[in-house]
This record gives sequence, C-alpha cells and structure tokens, in this order.
Amino acid sequence: MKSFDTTYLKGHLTDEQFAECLDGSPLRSDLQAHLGQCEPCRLEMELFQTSVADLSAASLQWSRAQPLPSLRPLVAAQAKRSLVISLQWAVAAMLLVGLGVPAYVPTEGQNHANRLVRAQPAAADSEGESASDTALLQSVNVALAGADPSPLQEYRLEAPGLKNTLQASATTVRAQ
Amino acid sequence: MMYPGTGVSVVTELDDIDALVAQYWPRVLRYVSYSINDADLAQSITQDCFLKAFRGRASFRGDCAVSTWLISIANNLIRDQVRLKKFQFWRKAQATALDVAEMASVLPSGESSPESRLMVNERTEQVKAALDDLSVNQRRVFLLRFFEGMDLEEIAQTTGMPVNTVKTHLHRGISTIRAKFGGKA
Ligand SMILES: [Zn+2]
Repeated sequence: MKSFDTTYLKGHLTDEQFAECLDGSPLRSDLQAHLGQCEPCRLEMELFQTSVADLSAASLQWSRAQPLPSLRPLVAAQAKRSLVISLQWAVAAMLLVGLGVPAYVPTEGQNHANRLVRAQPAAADSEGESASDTALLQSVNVALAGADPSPLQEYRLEAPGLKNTLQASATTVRAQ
Repeated sequence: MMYPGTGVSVVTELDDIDALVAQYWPRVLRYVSYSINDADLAQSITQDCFLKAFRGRASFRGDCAVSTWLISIANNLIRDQVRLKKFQFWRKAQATALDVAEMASVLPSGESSPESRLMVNERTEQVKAALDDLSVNQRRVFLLRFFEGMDLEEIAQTTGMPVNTVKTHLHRGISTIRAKFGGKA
C-alpha cells in the first residue's frame, strides 16, 4: 500500500497514536498499517487491551459479589410519607378556609426571632474553615468541571504567558 | 445505542425497583466505586442513584440504554455529593481507597494454571494501581470507555463534558497507563 504514510514505521506508535487506536473512533489507515506490520506495537496493544479487560472482568465479579439491597420497602415508605404530608396539608388548608382564620401576620418580635434562627447556621463556620472549604471547592471544581478548562490546567497546555492568569482564577478560565 | 423494544419492556423494567436493582446494580456500583475509589460511599451513592432513577422514571425516553441513563444519574450524584456535603466526601474519597485485595481475590475464571492466574493477578493489580494515579475525570472517562464500552460521543453525553475534553482526558489516561506497562513513547 504505497499510499500509506510509512513514516510511522521508522519509529513505534507515539502515546497520542497509541491512544487514538484505542479511543473508539474509526482506526486511521496509517495506524492500522503500522499495527499490521509492527509486532512489538501489536503485542503492546494486545497486552494493554487484555489487562484492562481482565480488570474490567475482575471488578464486575467483585461488584456482583456485593449484596443487592431491596429498595422496594424504602420506596413504599417514601410514597407513604409523601401521601401523609399531602393529606396533612389538604386538611390544614380545608380547616383554614372552613374556619375563616385570618392570614398570618408575624409581629416585630417574631420577625426578630426568625432572623436569629436563620443566622445560626452561618455562625457555625469559622473563618478558617470557610477559607479551607473555599480552597477545596476550587480544587474540586477544577477536578470535576464539566467544561473544558481542566485539561488546560491539568496538563499545563497553556502558553507560558497565560500560566499565571490560569492559576489565578479557575472561574476566569472556565469563562474562556 | 438504542434500547430495543423501548415501549412495554422498559416501562415494566423501570416500574419494579428491585428488578432494576437486580439487573443494573453491579455495573453502577462498579462505576461509582472505581470513580470515587471508596466502597462505602459508593454504596450510598448507588442507592441514591436507583431511588432517583425510579422517582424520575417517567422522564426516561428510551433514547439510550438504561445503564447509560443510570450512569448519567450517578455522575450527577457524584458531583452533588462533593458540593452538598461541604467536601467531607471529597476528603474521605482522597483518603480511603477501594479494597484492592478484596477485588483481586475475585479474578476472571478463564485462566486455569496457577502461574497464569498469578500473571493475570499481577497485571490486574498493575492496571488498578495505574488507575489510582489518574485524576477523577481521567478515571471516569477511562472507565466509561473500557468498562462500559462507550465511544467518545456517548461518554460526552453521560458526563456532560465536550467531546474534545473527553478525548483529552481519555488520551492522557491511556498514556499514563501505557507508561506503567513500560510503553515506548
Ligand atoms: Zn511499532
């Protein structure tokens, strides 16, 4: 096949070419040709696939060996609870309408009490905890971000001039 | 990947939560366990996944396999857990690993001689160790490709990542694992 790019035969498959053969997209003809003619690369590819398939099989056997929970009672209990709550609301609404209870207007004192209650959870976090949580949130966001920026940061693909900007704010990078 | 006979069979399957669990629990549990590397939390997330799927079963349109739909829900829950629980989960996930010894004791039955079983055992542990070195996103993408047999497009849909991002994570993951096996490049 003279039309194939035979430069690949001078060396073995690069990481990028090796990954391309395995990523599920249609196999490029030049890579296919290399694998057809180069035994070391073919054997390496086979070892990779077999090893991953073995782990896949072992992990599935492991998860199959775990006990299956029965979620039916949980679902039934949840359904019953939501039915009871709906009925309670319906009865309460009927009573309010039937007895002609005036609309609830909180007094100044009650408003103050509500504010205090609402303020409590925020006071529970110290500044130090908030700061470390914020830092952790940023690392989590970077690690789990559905948007594209993480490869840039993760693999340091950015141009040197961009590096500081990228490190300064993950949010800014996501917006780009 | 169209789910065959979307009409009656899927509705029946989704209407019985324990039947759903019986058929799909192992695959979802495996995916979650290996993604977050924590067996206990994986149990709880997998249970939430099935409860959520059951409650939202009316929204399943059958345009993908049930397992793909369940794994998409699991992916969202993994993210929610990280954010809602003020990262306790994240701290724990980084600290506790899935029990490799327990996993390695259950090997594929195809290899008969003790020597070949030992070799398979070694290789399997090698891949597992290499997986631990991947980032969460690389690992999720790698698992969806090689454990779930999804292509780039399907992985993108399941994770909500753009296809190019999926490809980048997958290629990096493959290269890392290739290097562990003594790759050339
Ligand atoms: Zn070669």
